[in-house]
Amino acid sequence: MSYLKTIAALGLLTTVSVGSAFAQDLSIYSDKTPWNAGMTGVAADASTASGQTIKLQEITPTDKYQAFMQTSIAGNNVPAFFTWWNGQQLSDVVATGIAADLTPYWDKAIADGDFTAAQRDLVSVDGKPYGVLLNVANWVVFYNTAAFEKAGIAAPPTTWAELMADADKLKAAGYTPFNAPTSGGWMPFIWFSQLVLGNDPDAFVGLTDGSVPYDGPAVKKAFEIWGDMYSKGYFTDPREQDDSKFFANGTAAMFLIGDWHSGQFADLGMKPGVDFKTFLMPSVDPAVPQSVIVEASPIVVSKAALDANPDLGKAVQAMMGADVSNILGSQSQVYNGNLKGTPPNDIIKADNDLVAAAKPRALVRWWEAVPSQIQGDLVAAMGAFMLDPTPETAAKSMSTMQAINADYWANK
Amino acid sequence: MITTASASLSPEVLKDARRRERRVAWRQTRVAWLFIAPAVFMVSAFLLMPVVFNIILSFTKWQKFTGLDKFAGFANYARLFNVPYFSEALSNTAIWVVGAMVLPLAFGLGLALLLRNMPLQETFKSLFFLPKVLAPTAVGAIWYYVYAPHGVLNSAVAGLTGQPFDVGWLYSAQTVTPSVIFTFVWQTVGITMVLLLLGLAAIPRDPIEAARVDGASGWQIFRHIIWPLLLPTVLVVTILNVAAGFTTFDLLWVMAGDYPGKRTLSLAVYMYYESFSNGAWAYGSAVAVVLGAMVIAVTAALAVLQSRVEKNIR
Repeated sequence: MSYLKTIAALGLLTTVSVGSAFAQDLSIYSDKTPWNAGMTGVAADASTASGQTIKLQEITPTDKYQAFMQTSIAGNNVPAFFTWWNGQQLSDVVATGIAADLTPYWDKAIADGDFTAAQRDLVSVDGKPYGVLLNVANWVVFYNTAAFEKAGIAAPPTTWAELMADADKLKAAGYTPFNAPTSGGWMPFIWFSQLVLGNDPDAFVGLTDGSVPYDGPAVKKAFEIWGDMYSKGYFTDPREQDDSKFFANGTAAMFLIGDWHSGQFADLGMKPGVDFKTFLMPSVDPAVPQSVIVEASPIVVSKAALDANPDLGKAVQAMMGADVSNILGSQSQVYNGNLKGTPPNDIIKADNDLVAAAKPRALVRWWEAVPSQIQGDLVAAMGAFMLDPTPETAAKSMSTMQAINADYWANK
Repeated sequence: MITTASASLSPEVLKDARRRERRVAWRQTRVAWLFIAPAVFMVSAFLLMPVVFNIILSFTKWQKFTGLDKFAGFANYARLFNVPYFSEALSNTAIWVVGAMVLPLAFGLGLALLLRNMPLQETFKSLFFLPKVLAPTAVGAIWYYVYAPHGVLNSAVAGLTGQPFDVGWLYSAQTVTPSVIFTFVWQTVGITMVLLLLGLAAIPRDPIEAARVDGASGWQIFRHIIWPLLLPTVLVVTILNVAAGFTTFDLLWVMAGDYPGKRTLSLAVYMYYESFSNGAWAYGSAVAVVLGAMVIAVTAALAVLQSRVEKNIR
């Protein structure tokens, strides 16, 4: 019996020790590996502010990171901080009750002039903010200045017709007009959503709330244009897993992506504002007002961690300060929108100016707007088309997407 | 006059003896339970309980952290027929099962028969067995680069033909499953061959010699003597390979990680994506139940077949 008692006591001790070890292990989980330097800086700054050791933990690609976080949340083992997405994705997490309401921190940041109330709305659910802004990006078209020059393109296009004409010129000059990877488990939605919103922004919004079908006229038109562009050889090999490779090595002349990518291009040796610049994607239909996708990535804070360790509040406040904004900017060329922070490069500054001048309709990115339960399944169907851009595959992708979409909304 | 021992004993003595017998039997049962208790605990806690829990989950509405307490009836099972990805995953799993059943057996049997009386048999056996000692993830990583667009296979074909050759083996619905099955066969054929060689070694020489003396051809000997006697081993190998075909995950995970349609490459992969990526825990559980039921049904059928074959041989 005494043996049993000893074993039980040892077991209890081990459990307590392991539990304590986990309790002390404060981390920021992230799937944004290209921002490693900036995120490491954020963790360091948060550690200093809170007096706690906060480490960066990275998991990639995105679909594996999402799976990891799903199980962490389901297993009630939520990291103190983790990067996430806004829109529907954030709503899903908030519904679990694991996210801390950051209203007091946002109130202070707005009062201090770091952020605006409009920026708070980007990470709010039902009027309450549940995230610290990590990145606020406009989706623009990056272009290789040398390629444009060689193809005889004097200025970036302002209409769809000009864009297509420029694509032909670039093709004739030996370039692939557009970089279009399928990597990371999410990139296939880029051109799909752009072609839908370029023709019908309302239909784009409708796709994300179940009011517009994925096999309706708006989507059919997008697939037709997409397939036509593939048939003309406008896109790079979708099998390439390094999403920046073809743009950085000069094979592809343009890349439609969030302007946070400028840091990656800079890391790969391209000089922002010199080797590459940006322009806003024109609408496909000239009668449709121009839209721009705005992407906002929050860092979500665990309510349990914050309740158990109030010092983490200092870390949260530090993350909303100009210092962290500048760390992200200088280390990873990422801009979190802090008004006192400095935009990390001329590209991001120029994009903000472009958006301010053109006043396009701002749309939440498809990835964040669509229900997270079906986003991966829908992206898989878009990716299938990119690998085999035929009318048959387009029809199959649309039918598959609509079946998934209809099933989700019918059972919601 | 003959009297039995029990007849000469008083009822009290008999009662006492029976009590003692029961005590000994109970003591032995206790000892037996003590020894099997850890195994019973482990199997119950880590196998049966999760299976039962999984079946219960499949009847709930658990999705994205909510609905665990809501009964869904057979809704998750009905959903299997509404979502096109399930039928795709099911048909790919069927291809996997047939491929995993037929191909390693065919190649393994061929190799076993070839190596049976060959010099350097042990060396060849070790060579063919070697891939089996590698972790499937390592095998997947190696073959990923074989099949890559600019990988070994395409480069070799281009080198041989002198023409550019660019097939996306792991990026097309038509080629991805056969490519991964080929890798599975490459890894599995060695163990299949070794098991069949053991089966072949256990076949008595006498009927073969007798048939030979009677003028039977090689094919007749194989068809009427070797194959029936080898059948129990063949069925064991088939059961192992069929179960592997149903539950294959690691090779697909590593090799087809970049293929957008990866989630439908097998029911096991589909189950993973539905549960862990989409957060459809209850629906994923229903997929798991269907997969488990199929594995049990097929392996049970094969086991029944095996016992009949063994009975016939005896």
